[in-house]
Amino acid sequence: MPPPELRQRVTRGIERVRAHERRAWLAACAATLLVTCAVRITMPALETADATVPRTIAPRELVAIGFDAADAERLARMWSSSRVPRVAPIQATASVASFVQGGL
Amino acid sequence: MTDLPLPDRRALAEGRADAFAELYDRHAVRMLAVARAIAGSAADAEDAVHETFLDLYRSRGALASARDERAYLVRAVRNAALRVRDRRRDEPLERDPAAASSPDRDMELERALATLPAEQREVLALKLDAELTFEQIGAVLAIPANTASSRYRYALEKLRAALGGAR
Repeated sequence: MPPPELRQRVTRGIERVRAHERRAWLAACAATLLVTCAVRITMPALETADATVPRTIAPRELVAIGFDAADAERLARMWSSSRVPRVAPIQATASVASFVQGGL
Repeated sequence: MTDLPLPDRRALAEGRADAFAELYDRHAVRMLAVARAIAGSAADAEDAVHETFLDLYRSRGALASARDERAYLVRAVRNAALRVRDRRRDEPLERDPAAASSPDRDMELERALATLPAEQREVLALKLDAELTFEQIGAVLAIPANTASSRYRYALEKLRAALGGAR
């Protein structure tokens, strides 16, 4: 017959393995939670409901292409108050000028 | 090993302590005998059985779905006994039957068993202690069933000669 100590030894050994597996599982859960929180904290822009950017243009850029100062100020204010979807950024002055010449 | 089915397979798969306690109570005697035949000493056999149950717990999913439970347990304890034996390769092998034997075995029989080659001693243990068929022994040892049968026959002949010569 096996000695009684062997049965106790086997039982204790299995308990140790079970405890080790439980610790490993908890560590994996904690790591997953940490990574998820880190992503959310470091990338807040992705979480904004209003994914838009303010559009601004300096009045002097409009003056440089032929606007008078008063019209440049008024147009700049109009641009600043509008919000556009986060797509391509405002391009160079030349494209702005062609839009102004064609639309306004 | 008995023909009783494994404890509830679901309980084993879940790693329940009562299921593994029942597994031990049913099979430890036979597993210890197989391990002793391979490892060579009672202490090493106990180490092998201890390691086997930890391995069984870690791979409890495979245990719960084993097709041939008896062969699965014997293969597991055999592998553990071989590992224990290999770890002691550099140490002098304890071949004193008085120290290694179980009180249940005759001293003369123990001495006769010690004269057998390891592979024959192993087949004897699997046939007589683990009560495996030759097909199951072949599956455990990765040898044809006929080879297992031959080793068993040679082992008995050697045993008879050793016991007959002692008298």
